[in-house]
Amino acid sequence: MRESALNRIVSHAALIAASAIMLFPFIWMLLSAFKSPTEIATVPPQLLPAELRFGNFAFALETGRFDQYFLNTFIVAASVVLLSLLTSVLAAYALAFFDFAGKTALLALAVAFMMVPFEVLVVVNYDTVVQWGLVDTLVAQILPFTTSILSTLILTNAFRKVPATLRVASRIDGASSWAFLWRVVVPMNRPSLVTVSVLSAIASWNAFLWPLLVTNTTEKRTLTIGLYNFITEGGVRYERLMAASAVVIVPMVIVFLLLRRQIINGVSTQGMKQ
Amino acid sequence: MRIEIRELGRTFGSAPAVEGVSATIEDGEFICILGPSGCGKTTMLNMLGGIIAPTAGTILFDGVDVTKVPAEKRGVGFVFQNYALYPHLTVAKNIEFPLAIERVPRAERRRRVREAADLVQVGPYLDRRPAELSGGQQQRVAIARALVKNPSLLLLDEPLSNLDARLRLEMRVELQRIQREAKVTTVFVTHDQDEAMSISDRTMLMNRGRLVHFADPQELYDDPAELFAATFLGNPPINQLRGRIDDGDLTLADGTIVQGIAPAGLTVDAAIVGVRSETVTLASTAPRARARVEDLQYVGRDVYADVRLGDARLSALVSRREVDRSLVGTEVPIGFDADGVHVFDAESGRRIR
Amino acid sequence: MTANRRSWPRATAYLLPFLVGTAIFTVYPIVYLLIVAFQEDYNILTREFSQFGLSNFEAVLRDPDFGNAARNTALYTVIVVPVTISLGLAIASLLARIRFLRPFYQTALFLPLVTSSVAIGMVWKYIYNADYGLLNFLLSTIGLDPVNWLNDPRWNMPALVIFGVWSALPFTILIFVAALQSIGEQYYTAARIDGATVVQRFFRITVPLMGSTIGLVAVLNLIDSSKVFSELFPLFNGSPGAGFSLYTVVYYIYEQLSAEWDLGRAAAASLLLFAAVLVLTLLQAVLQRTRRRRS
Repeated sequence: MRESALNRIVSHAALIAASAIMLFPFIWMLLSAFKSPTEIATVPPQLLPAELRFGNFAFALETGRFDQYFLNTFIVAASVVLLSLLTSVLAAYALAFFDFAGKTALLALAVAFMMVPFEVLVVVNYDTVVQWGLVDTLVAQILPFTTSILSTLILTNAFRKVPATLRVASRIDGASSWAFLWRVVVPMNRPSLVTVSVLSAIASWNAFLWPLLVTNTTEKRTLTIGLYNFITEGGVRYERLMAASAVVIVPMVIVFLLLRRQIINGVSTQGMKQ
Repeated sequence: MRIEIRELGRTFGSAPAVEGVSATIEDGEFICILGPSGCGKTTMLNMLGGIIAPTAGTILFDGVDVTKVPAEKRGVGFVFQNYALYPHLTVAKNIEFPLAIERVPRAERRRRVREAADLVQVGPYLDRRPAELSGGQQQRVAIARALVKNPSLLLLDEPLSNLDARLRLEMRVELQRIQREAKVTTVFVTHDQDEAMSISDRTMLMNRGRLVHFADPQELYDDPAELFAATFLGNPPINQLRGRIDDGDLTLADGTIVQGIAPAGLTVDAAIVGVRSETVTLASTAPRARARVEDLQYVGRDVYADVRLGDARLSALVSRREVDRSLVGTEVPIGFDADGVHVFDAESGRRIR
Repeated sequence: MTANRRSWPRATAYLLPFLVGTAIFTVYPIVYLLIVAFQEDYNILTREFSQFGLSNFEAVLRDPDFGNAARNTALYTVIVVPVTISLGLAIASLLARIRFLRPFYQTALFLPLVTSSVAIGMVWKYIYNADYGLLNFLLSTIGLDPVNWLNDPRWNMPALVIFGVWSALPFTILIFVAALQSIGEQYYTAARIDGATVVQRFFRITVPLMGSTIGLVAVLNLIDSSKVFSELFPLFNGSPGAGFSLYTVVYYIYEQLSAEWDLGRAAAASLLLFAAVLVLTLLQAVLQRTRRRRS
């Protein structure tokens, strides 16, 4: 039995309205990034720029040093993804395939610790980074995120679905537990690994509070901090600000368009887990 | 490879799953471990494969003690009940897996995968994934994976139980062919007596963790070591007469006497006499007792006659020519072929004669 | 089989990198804060303190600034959470049973999930601009006076709330859609046969069956909105609004650290915030359980 045509039209109309509101800031950002200073400030606002001006982007990248920020952000995000993936895979393997005293307690503790927001821990971690002499380095921006309780729990759940007989079969085939992990468990769970990687890449790319604390020079800043300083240091020039914001946002939008399904699955399991 | 098993045992918690099993398997033999569920047959197999460590006894492969050698170092092939194929690998990669772990050179790997695939006839499916294969094909791939590293021992855990009836008969024949061609010592676990009888050179019959009888299938049937062996094998199940034996005559609980069913001179206070249905004759010329025919069941060429002898019921397999419907309800002289009559101690189940 | 008590050494080897990282950057700070919160007159440089006691909590609770922060945070949360949940549930129930154009809707509705709140906050700052911002233009088209969203203390909270709801909606919709899709279609079919309208179906089937999910999402949004802080950076250059109208609890903690260097108070305030959220979470769980028992 299908919905009546009227119902469906009303539903679509409502969804289109909602989509438009959610999407509008992105569209507005992209359009404004091509505008001239006069077009930015006209009343009533002008929707489309008269011509496609790339000058705002050029300004952001060169004068605003967003080229440097972009590179830093990429290095930090890539390192965080690779390292946290490695530590999470190893830990999840132990939690899913080995039985050892205290495992249940360890899992319960991990869930409890995950509930404490990072914002609360920022101070002590800042102190740690100061002690280690890592202030204003990329390493400082990477280190706290080389392990992730969330990724570990997601992967543990995924690994648990690997049948136990496969481990026995692999032993008969001569595989050590190390070989079993890399040749069977990891390739079998590629979708979960992608999900976890994408989630940590997004979190790292958009991190704000932590890099704000541990960086203080242009050379080590990431995009979000660069953007924040762009406005505090250079005054408000919205056309340039919109171009700079686009530089920060567009890469993740591309990731989203490519991996929409994995991201949606990942976020919903993340929500259900907490 | 010659395998010696000495006083092998395994307990889980306090419950013994296998206890005091000793046996020797000769090189190239095809052995079945047969028994009801929970008899310890799979535990036995897992101990041979090194998947489970024994808690007592030793296992020797060609005279070398391998009791403590883990599965990955035993060089055995194993076919799992559910096949346990790697779902993310193609058929070729599945078969190649043990060779890749062993770091066998690439060219040799390819040749051996090809050979193993040809042996089990899965050549055309090498690029498929397990999910795209039928149960029988998955089974063949699992066998190829087990054989590709030229194991000295091939172990199979109820490999035919997940197949449908027709495919099972076909795979029985296939398994025999593959085993003969690969010339590998093979141990096969099953709860299906027909499977064990038709496939194996010798069968280990297990019950409650003990090895009851280890012999070729015909001997197991003709010459059971224990009442359990006599009852587990054969269809219909062996007839059982309980009573006291006095100089070869059996007295049932209700006083009915069966004369000379056991050899003269044999006296047992509490005995169970096992009689195979095909050794019962109705209208015998050398009757041991009189029995009442209660029903006849025609099964194709043969007839099963339900017979009441005193307080016992017997099933007799007779030829169509010997009987007709008019016998139902009448009393007939009943006889036994001495070869199919076994006397067991009612207490221990041990065979007396 | 592969698993036994003796696999401890090998399991530890696999767990080690994870345990080390988590110990340094998660466990240690939590333990440290738990201790420092109870240490009186803690000196961040010398790490000395006079005695264990509750003076940090006392000072925080007596501090009028903290009271202000708590009020603002509570107000923000009390508005953002219900608004987000109602809008989210409405949109999700439309999206859950539509196949046509779904990828487009998903893209549009979930895009903010992956975008930096600082970067998109800059766009909102432009939209909120008093002189040539888009929002005031829209108000003027329906005959309303322009509002100084970012510089008038009365309008700061609404500005932050709109941005907050916009940011929280995608996650909320996503979880609701996932939950809605696990509700059997047969309930809706049956209700339609019984002549229930779309609105009746929403209130008589969707809302009751979604009870536990609504509770869960409420808690998650609560946890998130009680930490409101980093949104202040793009919109208000990191200031707590005009006339401290957006001075929140996390801002208070941030200030105790960055301006006062008072780790003890910051830790105490953190624990109070965490405790408040925990109490509300547990309350929600208890309510859920009694509700389930009754039905």
